[in-house]
Amino acid sequence: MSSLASILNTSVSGVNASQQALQVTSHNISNANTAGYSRERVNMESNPAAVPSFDGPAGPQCGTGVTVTDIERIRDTFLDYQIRTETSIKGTYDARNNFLGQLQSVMNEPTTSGISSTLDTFFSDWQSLSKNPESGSTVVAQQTKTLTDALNSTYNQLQTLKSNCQTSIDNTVFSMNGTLDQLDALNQQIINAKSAGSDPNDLLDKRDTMIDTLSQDFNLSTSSDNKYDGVSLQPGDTSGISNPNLIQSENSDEEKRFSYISGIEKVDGTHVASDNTDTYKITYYKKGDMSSSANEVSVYVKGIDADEYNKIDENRVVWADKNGMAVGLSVDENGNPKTGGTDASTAVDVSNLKLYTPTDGELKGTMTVQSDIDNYTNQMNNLAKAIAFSVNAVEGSQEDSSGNLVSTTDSTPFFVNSSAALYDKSTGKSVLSNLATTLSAEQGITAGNITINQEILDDPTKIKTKTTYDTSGNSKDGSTDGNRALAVANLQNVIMGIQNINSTTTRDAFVGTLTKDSNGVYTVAQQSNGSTCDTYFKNTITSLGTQEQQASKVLTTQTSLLQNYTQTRMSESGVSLDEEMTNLIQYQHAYQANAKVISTVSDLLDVIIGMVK
Amino acid sequence: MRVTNQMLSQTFLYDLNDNLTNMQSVQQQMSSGQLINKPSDDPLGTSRVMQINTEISQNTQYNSNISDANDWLNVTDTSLGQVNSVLQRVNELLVSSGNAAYGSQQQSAIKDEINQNISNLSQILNQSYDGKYIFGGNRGTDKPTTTELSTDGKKNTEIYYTDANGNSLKNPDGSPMTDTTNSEISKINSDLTTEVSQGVNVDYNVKATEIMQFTNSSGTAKSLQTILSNITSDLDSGNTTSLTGQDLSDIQDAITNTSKLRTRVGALQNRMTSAKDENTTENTNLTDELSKVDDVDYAQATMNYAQAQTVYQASLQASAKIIQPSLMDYLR
Repeated sequence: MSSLASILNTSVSGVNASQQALQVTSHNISNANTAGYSRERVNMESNPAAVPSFDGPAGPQCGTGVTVTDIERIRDTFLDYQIRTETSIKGTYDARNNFLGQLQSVMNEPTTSGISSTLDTFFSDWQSLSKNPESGSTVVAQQTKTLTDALNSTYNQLQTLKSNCQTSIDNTVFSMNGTLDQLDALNQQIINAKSAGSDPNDLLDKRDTMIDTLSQDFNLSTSSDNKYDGVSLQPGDTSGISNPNLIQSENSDEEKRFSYISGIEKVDGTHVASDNTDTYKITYYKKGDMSSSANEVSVYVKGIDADEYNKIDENRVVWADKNGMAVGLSVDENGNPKTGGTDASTAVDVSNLKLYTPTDGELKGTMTVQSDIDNYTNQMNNLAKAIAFSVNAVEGSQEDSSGNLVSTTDSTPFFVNSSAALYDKSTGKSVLSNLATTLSAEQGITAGNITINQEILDDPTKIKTKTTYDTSGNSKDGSTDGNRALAVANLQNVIMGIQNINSTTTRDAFVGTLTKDSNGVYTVAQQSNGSTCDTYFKNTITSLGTQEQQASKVLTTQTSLLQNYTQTRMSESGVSLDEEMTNLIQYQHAYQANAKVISTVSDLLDVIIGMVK
Repeated sequence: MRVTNQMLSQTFLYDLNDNLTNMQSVQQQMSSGQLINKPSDDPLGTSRVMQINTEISQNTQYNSNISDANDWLNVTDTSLGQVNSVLQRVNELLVSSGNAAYGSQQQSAIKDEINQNISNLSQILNQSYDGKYIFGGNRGTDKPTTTELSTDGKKNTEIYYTDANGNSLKNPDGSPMTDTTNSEISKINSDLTTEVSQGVNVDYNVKATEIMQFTNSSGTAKSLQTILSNITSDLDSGNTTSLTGQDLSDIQDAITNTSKLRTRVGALQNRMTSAKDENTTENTNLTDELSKVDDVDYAQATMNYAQAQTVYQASLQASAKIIQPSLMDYLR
């Protein structure tokens, strides 16, 4: 049997439930456009009737109203996982597309002002010189300067692009560490709130949004490690670290972070010939924060060979403990400080270095672009070296009195290494003052330091155009003999092994044995395996174009894929204003109805009280 | 599937961006006139474009080589014609010198005229074009020949080869040196080569040594300097037998030699003409191919642009109608 009072209680519970529902609806509506917000829904349960007892009233039982059991946050964690994975992949190609696009602009092909066109004009000018040896040398000298300037400038721009990549890596590491610290605080807040019994839905939304942004930088995985909704977060690639958690609910002091390597300098005199390694001084900044020199730490590391150096140079991110000290170099995996590495004699072995090697994300994209830039820089260097070696060989050949080739070097090399050549300007026109050093520095010519001999630029008549020259640099050929210039011009069509050039290749090894052409000039013979200069450069541009095209296509596909997943998530968790409006009307009516019941019960109570007179 | 307003807005924004990207790429093609604006647009096409540009550049250079060689050959032909005229005149004078009615006065006049013609011949051999002596081989900045009066008192003009300073090259006995192994004469005796297409070299010059040193039809080596010297000394001595015999046949051998050289030059000129034609055709072909790979077909591009624009407008219109209304418009 129910009393008026219990009816009153039932309707009061109804009013309260409607009120709470209205509050949740209003919260949803006000956050309809908030990024990362998941809609909330009230779950109501009817209150059961009082438990029957032996001495209680008998008869039909009736429930006693409604309670709001919880405010549910509608979110599908599996969708979150999918979106984060795809965001990481998109981040990789985003970074690659961005930097490769810039690399394409640096190369500036196919245009009439690019290196390909300049090289064509260079060889044409030598042809013109061969027809007019007495008047065409100034043009050749100037065009050569244009060519070497173009090569130098491209090389410098490539280096700038590479250092931009490194700055980008540093910025990413710094912001990653910042976000991780914030996430850590948020994680603890959620655990505290949940353990106190409340539903921290908005904090959960915030945490999920931060993890989503983080997944653009590197691929990560999360798992729940605490009954109060705490999570642990670790990167996809743990590089063999035993405790790779970046966020964990307990013992957050043991969390790892990342630091950024800013400098890798070789220490002189530490070369070990048996395995071709050196000792390097590695300088890193704790947690990527380069704003203060207090964050700078230097460690000496031994056993680094050329491949290892490239790996470190292109990667630049190390695992660190919570304070930013590099794991393996400055501290061990449990956080205890390590000794050694303070100077070259106590250097730490490179096997202790723990580089972070992500598999996806912007970090990975930028790292791979660095290795691509290195590759293209090498190709430009090879091209510069090939041009310098072949032209110098043809220009420099000298014969003895019986017509045999005596030497392939002479007093005025055409192309020189600008970092080695020194000139004496006392006569007003430059004269090379350190011939032997300059000639041996030819081996170290790169696209960045190739230049025309200033002696020739100041006095273009020193360009050799005639068929034969003796060892004193004199020729017995006529004044309008242009056969040597024609041989240089024909180098455009000579197949050379440019792809085999490396930093130790010498001129003799590259050009091989010189042979006489049909006019009697000693020139470079066709080699069996290689390409001409312009074909080599053309292949460089083609492979760059293909890489960038691929990055751009994959980016488009990924963006579209991510769009699908995001739509699915919005379908699941997004706020629909129409739906909220409908709910608003619903709860409003319920509120009004419950209020009406209360006023009815109030009237009934008046009737009953009025009965007693 | 539950669809929210936010989803509609987001779909609209994403597709709008796609449409604008398409329009932008068509616009860039139309304004630059090129299909390929950066290597990633079409890597293989880029490779082809660079290749063709190099070939066009080489072809243009060959074209210039052919033109220059052709001009040189024209001047050579004219000069050889003049040499021929001079030798013909000497021939006439020799014939008339055989006339028994001519006295020493006339013989003297004939000899003077022949000496004039010898000077003339040296001048023709020193013909220059474009700053170079066309008969000078690869010593084109210095005159190949000069004349001196003979030292035997008869004051006859003799032609000598010169060294780089313009001095006459003489044998120890004072006669003109004709040995082609001499370092200066070998420079005059050298070929000038030009490349008219890849790997095809053509020797296009006639050397002073070819005009003056030759072999006649019976295989005897002759030297024009010796022949002329013999003529003047025979005129001095009045040796009419020799004048109308050996000298006449020698001069006629020289004329035959010059004609042979002219024929050769004529053949080379023909060769240059056909090389030029081939070169022009090649240039046309290459430019054509470049156009096919790289030029925008404006009809196609305009259609693409119109299409992209239609899609863009349709998406704007449709989305405007869809994303605007909501339930709130209808609740009083």
